[in-house]
Formats: sequence, C-alpha cells, structure tokens
Amino acid sequence: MNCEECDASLIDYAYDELAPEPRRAVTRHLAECAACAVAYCRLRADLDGALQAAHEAPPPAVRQRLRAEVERAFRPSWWRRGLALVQRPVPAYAVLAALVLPAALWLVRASGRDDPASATSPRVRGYDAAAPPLIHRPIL
Amino acid sequence: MPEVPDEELVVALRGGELAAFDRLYARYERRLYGYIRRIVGESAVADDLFQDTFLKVLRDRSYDPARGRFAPWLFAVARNACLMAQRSERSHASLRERAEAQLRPAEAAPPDARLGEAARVQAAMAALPEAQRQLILLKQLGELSYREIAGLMGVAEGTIKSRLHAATQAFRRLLTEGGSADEL
Ligand SMILES: [Zn+2]
Repeated sequence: MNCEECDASLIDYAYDELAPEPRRAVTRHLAECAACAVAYCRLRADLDGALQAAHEAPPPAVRQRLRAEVERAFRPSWWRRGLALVQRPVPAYAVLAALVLPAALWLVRASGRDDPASATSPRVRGYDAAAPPLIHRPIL
Repeated sequence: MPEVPDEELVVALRGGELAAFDRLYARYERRLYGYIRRIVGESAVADDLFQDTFLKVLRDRSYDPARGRFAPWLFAVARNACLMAQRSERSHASLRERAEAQLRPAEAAPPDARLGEAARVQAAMAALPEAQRQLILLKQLGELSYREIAGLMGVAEGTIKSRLHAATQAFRRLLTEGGSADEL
C-alpha cells in the first residue's frame, strides 16, 4: 500500500469500516510511514473531539421520569415476583428457613418448660452471686 | 467478564428485570440525548423526545431483539421523532435559529483565542448542513455501520459511504478554519 491508497482508506479505517485484509494493510502502512501515521492521528483526534462534544447527559429529572414509566410498564405482577423468588435456589432456602426456624424455636422452648430439671438449674452458668460487682473490684 | 449485549438486556427488561433498564440507560443516555439535542437544539423538546424514544423502543414489540441490533433501532426511532418534531413545530425556522444559537456559542462573538477546544468542535458541528451533521452523529454517537445508516435512511450503502466522507471532510475543514483564528 502506498501513501495515496492509505490516505483514501483513512476515514473508513477510522470508522472501522474496512474488511480485515485492507484493514491490516493500512495498519502495516501506518506502522511504517510517519507522514500517514500523523495524518491518521489528526483525523482520530478530530473525530474523538466531535464525539466528546456531542455527548450530553439528560437532566436527572428526565431519568427519574423515564425510570418511573419503565417501572410502571415492566414491573412484574406480585404473583410473578413471588414465583420468581421461590424458583431461585438461594431465596428458596431462605423461605424454608423462615418457616422452619420459628417452629423449631417454639418446640425447643416448649420442651424446656416441660423439663423439671431445667427449672431448678441456674439460668446463667458460672455466675457467682457472692462475688462483688466488677466496679468494686481492685483493678490491679 | 463479557458485556451483556443490548438485545439480551431488552429481553430481560421485557421479562420484568428492571435492573436491565438501568444498564441499557447507562449505555445510551449520553449518546442518545446528545444526538437529539444536536438535532432539535431546544432542551425541553429534547427531554420529551428522549423519553418518548426510549419508552417506545422498549415497549413497542415491533422491535424484536432476535432480529436486529438495538442501537440502529433506537437511533432510527429517535431520528424519526426529531423529524416529526421539526415538521410539527410551526415556528420551525425560529426553532432552528434558537437551536443553532444555543449550539453555536462562538458565532456571535468574534473569533476568540480563549475559545475552548470543545466549543470549537461544537461550533464546527453546528455549522455543518443538517444532513451532514446527522450522518456524523449517527456514525459517532449511534456507532452505526454504513450499512445500518443506509438501511435507516433508505439509500445505498455506497451513497452513505461517500456522503459520510464528504461530511467528515467538511467538518474537519470547519474545524481548521475555526482553529486558524486561535493562532492569530
Ligand atoms: Zn504513507
């Protein structure tokens, strides 16, 4: 590829519109020819500048309005959300745990009340009622 | 991790996954809003068109993610909405005047060495004929291929290629002319 051919392909190259083989030829030429490489850098800089200058964020209120509309249009119904929750493996365990745990706790407490030995045993092990409160003990 | 394609996000959103919208929005907000602003100028009009375009493409099932890329569809809808807005605007001329005044900060003032690079680029873009500006914006902001722009405008791909070359050269000429003032 000579400089003239390279120059004719430069815009398509910058826009990423060349087929693989011509693209490789331009890349090779740019690696070998300083004049064309500089021309390409200038073109790239102009196009990047155009792109940067054209970008613009909408005001935050526009995003909020749009998000609310999207939510209204696409939010699944309550039964679909419930179904999705149950279908997922981890939340399914969470649901199971939420159902089973209170029942298990209740059973443990109920069996504790029925056990006469547990009624006489001290509620806090290792507690010495004769020892002075911590605040009156010498620190050293 | 490979990026989830736009089309999959559309499918996910339509299936009720609202987080998919947030990802799509982050990809397109600055590009789409920038495009609309550069075509219609007035920000209040642009706000409405931006919102309508996004909603229409997502809600309207005439866009099928299995059959084509999201970006060309989004920008095609935006382009049509802009054209309709321009047509329906009774004071079309005054709208354009206001738009150009907003987007061409350098024009009223004499060439100024203090003019920033971004303003210089915006002035060059605003000075382009609208058809050329459209092409550059669709290529740059929309990231559309020659073929996709050709499909959107209903002309041959070769025509788009030569028009886009001409538009790019015109833009660079305007940029250089503006830039020469900086060197005075
Ligand atoms: Zn060369």
